[in-house]
Amino acid sequence: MSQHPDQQYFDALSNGDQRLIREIYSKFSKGILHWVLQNNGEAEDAQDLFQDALMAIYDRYCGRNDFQLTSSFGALLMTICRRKWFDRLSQKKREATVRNAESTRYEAETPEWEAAEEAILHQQRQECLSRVFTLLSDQCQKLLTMITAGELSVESIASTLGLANANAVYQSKHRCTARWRQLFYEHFKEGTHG
Amino acid sequence: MDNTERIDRYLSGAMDAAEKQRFEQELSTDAQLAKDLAVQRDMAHFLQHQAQKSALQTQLQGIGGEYFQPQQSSGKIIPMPRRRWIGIASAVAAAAVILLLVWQFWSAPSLYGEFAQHPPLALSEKSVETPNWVETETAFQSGDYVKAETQLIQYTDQFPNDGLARLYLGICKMELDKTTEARLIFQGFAGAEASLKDYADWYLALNELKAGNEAACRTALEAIAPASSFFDRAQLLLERLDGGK
Repeated sequence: MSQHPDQQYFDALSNGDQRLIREIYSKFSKGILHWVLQNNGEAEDAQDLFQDALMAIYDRYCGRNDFQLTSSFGALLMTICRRKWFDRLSQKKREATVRNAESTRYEAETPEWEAAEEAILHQQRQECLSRVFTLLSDQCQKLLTMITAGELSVESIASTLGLANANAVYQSKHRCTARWRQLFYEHFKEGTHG
Repeated sequence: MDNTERIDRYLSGAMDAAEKQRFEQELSTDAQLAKDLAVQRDMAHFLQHQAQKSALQTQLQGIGGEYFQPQQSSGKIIPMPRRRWIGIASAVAAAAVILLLVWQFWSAPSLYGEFAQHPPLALSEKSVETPNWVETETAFQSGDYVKAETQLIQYTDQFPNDGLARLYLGICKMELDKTTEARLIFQGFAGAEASLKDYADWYLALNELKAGNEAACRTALEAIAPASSFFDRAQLLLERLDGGK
């Protein structure tokens, strides 16, 4: 099956390809800048929004294989920006300043809209996981980070963290994971973390 | 019973085939297990990518400043006229000029890229429901000119007198290197109302630039009269052609 031509942009975000990331900005920033300026925003808002949307795409698509690309990168990026901007205006109670036609038109679901919603949800989940990760003990944070990095043997991790043996490392890992997951459930409310 | 360890074994590929099959069967009937799996998958993603993500954020922060610069005015979106397009065509052209004037030069690999800054397409005033014109706008703004072209062809078939829609169709074709078709479209405004003709004349010149016909581009630019809203921009491009190569 042939690869979607825009796959290169998703890959560029994954591997930090400076040339292609610049191409993303060069191709897509103008439209988003103009759209934000038309909807009660400033250039700084547009820059922040653009970056935030790219990070949402990163959170949803990079390093994951549970998706098939169905829309163009540019359309997805534009839709995420619009969706996020409406949320921000809404949070600031400036909805009235968004053209009525704009705010209602985009309620209609398009393939990009659905993909944008999904990307934003993934980003919200990652942001919540990041926040509650800091609520774990230092020992838990170090343990989970060290195990994931895979640079040290389990015995070395046990020694570094003052645990008795490899078995104690695994038991601690499961306790820390369960605690982290519990914290996520306690703190995550869909749609309120954007 | 806490599922943490089993999910961990599943995600790390430590289960044998039989255990994996049992686990996946259980997933289809145990909503909490499926929910826990989704969270633990996200947790693994977070741990695996936090350093890379942080590096990407720093990288984007560095690049973004080059492309988003404060502007004095946001101008006005160019509404595609409904049926009375002739009456407001001059306002449309005026808005287009404002947009072009406030438009910053972005780093671009070519002279064409430097000058081909298209005002966003706005079909929001259209009352036609099908196809979805929001998709057309999104496609145009995001550079998906293939999709925008397809839908604008449908639109101009329905509303052949809509000059601005035809102009944007020409822009799509120009961006898609269909410069012969684009040329015909832009030349079709020869007898049109002045403000639309100014617009088309400018794009005719850009189209020649895109096609690599520098002489034709010069001719088109030189034909843009001082009264045209695009005169200054045409002169600037002529200067660049004189000094740039």
